[in-house]
Amino acid sequence: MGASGVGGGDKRNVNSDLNLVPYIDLLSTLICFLLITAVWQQIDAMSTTASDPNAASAPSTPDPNRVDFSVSLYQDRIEAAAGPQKSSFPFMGGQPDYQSLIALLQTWKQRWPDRHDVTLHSDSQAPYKNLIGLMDALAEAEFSDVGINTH
Amino acid sequence: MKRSKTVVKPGYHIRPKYDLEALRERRHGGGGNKFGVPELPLVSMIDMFTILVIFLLMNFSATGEIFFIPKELKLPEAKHSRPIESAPLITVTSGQVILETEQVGSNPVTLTENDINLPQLSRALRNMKEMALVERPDKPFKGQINIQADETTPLVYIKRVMQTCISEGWTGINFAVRGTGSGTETGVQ
Repeated sequence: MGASGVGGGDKRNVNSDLNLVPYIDLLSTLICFLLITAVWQQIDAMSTTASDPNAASAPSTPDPNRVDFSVSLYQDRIEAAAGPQKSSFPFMGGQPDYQSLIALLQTWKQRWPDRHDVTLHSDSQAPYKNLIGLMDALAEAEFSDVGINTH
Repeated sequence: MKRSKTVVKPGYHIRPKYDLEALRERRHGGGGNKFGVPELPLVSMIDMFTILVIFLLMNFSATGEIFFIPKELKLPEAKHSRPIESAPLITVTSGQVILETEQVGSNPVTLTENDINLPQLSRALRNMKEMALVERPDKPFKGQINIQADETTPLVYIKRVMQTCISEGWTGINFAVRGTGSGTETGVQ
């Protein structure tokens, strides 16, 4: 691997080999470091915000024309309500029918394009993945301000 | 005239009968490489190393989150998730509630909505909040916390952890999920 140098008065070989040893060392070190620090499972997050009950908030008068959006997760169905209008989506084959819910949420979005807030209620025995699925469906319908009722 | 004697290194003389001088020279680095010890094909090895480095660099995450996910815990999937941020992690398994690496509560088999008390978790969260306020008095407390749980966990176990977090001022709750989408920001806040 050494370089056969140029020099001397005679006609010598001017080709030189690149010294690959430091390059291989660098690559080996990099591979070891990257393998150790590699993240093989992509972990993301779904977020929700909650108001601090201890924080003092200014009293505000509720708007009588404001429509409250809520989605309720049960063990066998999902119920969505925009004010007094309620819709129920029974589970299909044991799985929540997210597509029908998204279609309804999109109609809400067309009617109230400035609204992003939804309150999410859930049955205590419903599985956690259904809550995440519901939040995912709300995110798909561009409802970004999801509040979860923990009671 | 006096002849000077110089001491020379003794040569190969153990069994000169069987000595193959040319082969010996090649083995010790002299001569060409027509036969004898073959050279390692380094070019293909460097190619492989380079491809490996590029692949690993593409998967490299510089955000520094290290999540310990227990074997029995399978995170739910979500398409519209966003990259998780570094924050204290609460793990809810079938039997216990763990804050970072410390057990701060247990999950009984039967749990009603009235069993919301997690005093150890409350105390630990309070301490963490006080520490954060002491460490960064000039910055407002964000109250971000990450929760990870198995996808089949009944929501009552998650709710009581959430209630405890909210009551202690940790209102920015993030659920850890396995991202299956394009990884774009969803806007869920």
